Amino acid sequence: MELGWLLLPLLACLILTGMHAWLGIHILSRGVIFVDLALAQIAALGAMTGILFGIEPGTTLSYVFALGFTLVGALVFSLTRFEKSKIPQEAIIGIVYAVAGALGIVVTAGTPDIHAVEKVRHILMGRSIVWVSGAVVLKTSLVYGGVALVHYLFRKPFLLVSTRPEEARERGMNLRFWDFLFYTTFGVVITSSVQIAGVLLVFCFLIVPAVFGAMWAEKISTRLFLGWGLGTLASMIGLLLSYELPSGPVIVVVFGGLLLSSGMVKLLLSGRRKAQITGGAGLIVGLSLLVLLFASRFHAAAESEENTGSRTGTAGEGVQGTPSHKAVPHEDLSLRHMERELLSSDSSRREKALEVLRAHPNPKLLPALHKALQREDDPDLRIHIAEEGMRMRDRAFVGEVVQLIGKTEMPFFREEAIHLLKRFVELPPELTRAEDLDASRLASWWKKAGKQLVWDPKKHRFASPGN
Amino acid sequence: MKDKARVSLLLAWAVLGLVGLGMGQQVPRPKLRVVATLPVLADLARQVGGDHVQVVSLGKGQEDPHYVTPTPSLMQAVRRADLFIEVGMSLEMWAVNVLDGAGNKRVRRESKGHVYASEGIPVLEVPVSMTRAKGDLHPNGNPHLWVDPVRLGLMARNIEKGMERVRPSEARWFQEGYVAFQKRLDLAIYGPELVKLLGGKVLNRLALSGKLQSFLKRKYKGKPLSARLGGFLKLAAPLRGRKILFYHQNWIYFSTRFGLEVRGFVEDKPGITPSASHKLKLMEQIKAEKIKVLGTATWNDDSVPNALARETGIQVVPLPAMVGATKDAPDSISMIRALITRLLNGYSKG
Repeated sequence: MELGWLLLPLLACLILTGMHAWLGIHILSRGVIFVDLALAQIAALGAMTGILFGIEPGTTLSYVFALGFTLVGALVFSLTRFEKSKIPQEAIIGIVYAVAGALGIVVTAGTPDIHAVEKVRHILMGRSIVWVSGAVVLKTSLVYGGVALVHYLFRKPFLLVSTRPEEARERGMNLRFWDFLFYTTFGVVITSSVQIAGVLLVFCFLIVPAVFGAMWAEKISTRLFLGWGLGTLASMIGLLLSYELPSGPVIVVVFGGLLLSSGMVKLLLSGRRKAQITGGAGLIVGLSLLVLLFASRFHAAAESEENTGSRTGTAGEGVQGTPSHKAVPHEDLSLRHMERELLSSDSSRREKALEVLRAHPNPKLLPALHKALQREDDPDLRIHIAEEGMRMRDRAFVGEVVQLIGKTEMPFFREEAIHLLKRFVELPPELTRAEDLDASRLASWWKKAGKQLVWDPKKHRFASPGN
Repeated sequence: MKDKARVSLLLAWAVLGLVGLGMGQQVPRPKLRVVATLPVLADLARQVGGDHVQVVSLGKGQEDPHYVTPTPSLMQAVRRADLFIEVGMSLEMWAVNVLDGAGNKRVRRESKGHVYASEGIPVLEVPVSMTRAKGDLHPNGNPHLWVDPVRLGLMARNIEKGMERVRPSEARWFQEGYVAFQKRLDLAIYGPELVKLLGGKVLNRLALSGKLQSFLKRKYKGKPLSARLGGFLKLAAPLRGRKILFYHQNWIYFSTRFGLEVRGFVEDKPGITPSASHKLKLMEQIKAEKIKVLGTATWNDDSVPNALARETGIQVVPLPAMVGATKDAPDSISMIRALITRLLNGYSKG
């Protein structure tokens, strides 16, 4: 197995780990576990609202919309941290999540452009890490770099506000301001990270390393390093295991497995007998699950979780009925246009042009018509062309029909050509007597008598003056 | 002595034979690596390219074509591909991500190794006016072309051209593969008699311009041509003029081809679960118009159709809207047959 494909997704995972492990520590101590889901939902709502104003998803303007909404979300979250309230902030977050999601559906129910809506869901809710391109990795690392700089410069106030808000308040810090700044930077990160990794994976990058760190260490810096280590490990194992499987979900499962094993090890080390037994048993179960996962990697790829509840399609109560070719516009009878249509490579356009020609005969088009007949490979259209030619009294087309009768393979069109000839040409009785016209006798008749044929306006046919 | 001579003669003969065999077998060229977004495109590519191509489909038959499950192995296939085929018309919106992510310059959009299978094919449901006054209708028309057998041939033609473009040395092979497939398709659609009398080219043109039915009223040897109709069109003749509901607007090409009268959709707006009022409206409509059949794609949510069936007795017919969606649709031609047969069964029960 070549490993070249791993490079970009792994790089993306490492960048995600780097940023999210840090933010996760804050999120965990603030106890706002699901705030990233709510912010992602709000960003999607922003982009969907953009569609109402005719803004294509995926454009910069759409991103601005998404960010703008995220800012509003940040404001809401910074204003809803109450001291000793009966209402935990998780409740607010859950409500915002549900309402933003529902609003997205309601808002877009009015737009017929379902594609744009799907695109938003696609971009903001559920892309896959294996689709990441070099440009996106670069862009994301620039955005994260900016956020990381802010967080590095203000790491002390940020940590204080997240971990010990009472102390921060006593010191006279403006909690609302710092909360707003935190959620704003957090929102910026989430809006871009969900775009490359999808909500499931981003949630894991955020929370699991922080939980792992808190499990084993007290000091923030130690927790951070532990988190980075776990994130890197899970990304690598997950990507390697996922060759035939959807990568994002596999990494999530690996995160879960690693955290579970770590919990069991913690129990084993606890020194209490009962806990040790539980831990040991759990570890065995966990390991065998991992082995199972590894084995399944060699089986057919499983369905992805990213793929649930998906159905939709085209918009359009559009016109039903005849196919809408780029048809000959009704009134354009100019020589140049008609020539082009008669010689078009699209047979339906040629057909249409012949119909127009029938309604508006124009002998100036005869040379084009001859050329069209030479090129035509549709036996039905050949007959049409010859018919229009004879209708415009061009004797040469009689010869063309004679030739067609000789060479047409399809029996039906041979017969049609014979009908046509009989309709437009007065044939000598010895030729028409037989049931089927004999092609070679017909050809020799044309050679002999063809030049004498003239249009007889009374009979509306070509006839030899002698007859 | 004599024996020795005989043996050496035999040996020489054997060696010559082997050499001859070796010369007859050309050095095998590496197969053209084709990646298609959807199983139906993959099937067409296989039909055209035969054993000169190696085809991978990104989507699966049971999946909604608007979505696909990406795995690194699929990305790898795109990375190595010589030819990438998608329907286009904004159907596979994920395709651009795949192409960006794979970074394979040979198959990028607008490059030689990229095919839009829908190119140049007449489409339906193009918004009448391109001003966006009525909202943002999709400007390119309905992209679910492959449920029309006639358009399948056009798509195969586009794919053949793409193969020829990237492997001009094997142009003959691809052309022959296409011609053979088109022939099979023509026979399957119109039956042998009409194909012999009129040729597939004419029939397909007439079918696409909607003039086939009136054309077939013309007489040949005393009988109207329609009496000689065979294939899918004959099989589906009982469907002509029958009323039907569909779940989603992805059947327009099928219903136009076989003359089904589409009375409405379960989805009020594409992609959105119907509102209660829409459901009530549908129930009234089903009763008033005596609509017998509701066609759904296998991946559509079946809760609303089943509720409608319980309350009105309408037959819900799950249809393979993609090659590989059901067992009776392993390839594109049998997919069309399965669609017709399932609907016929639905009407005979309803």
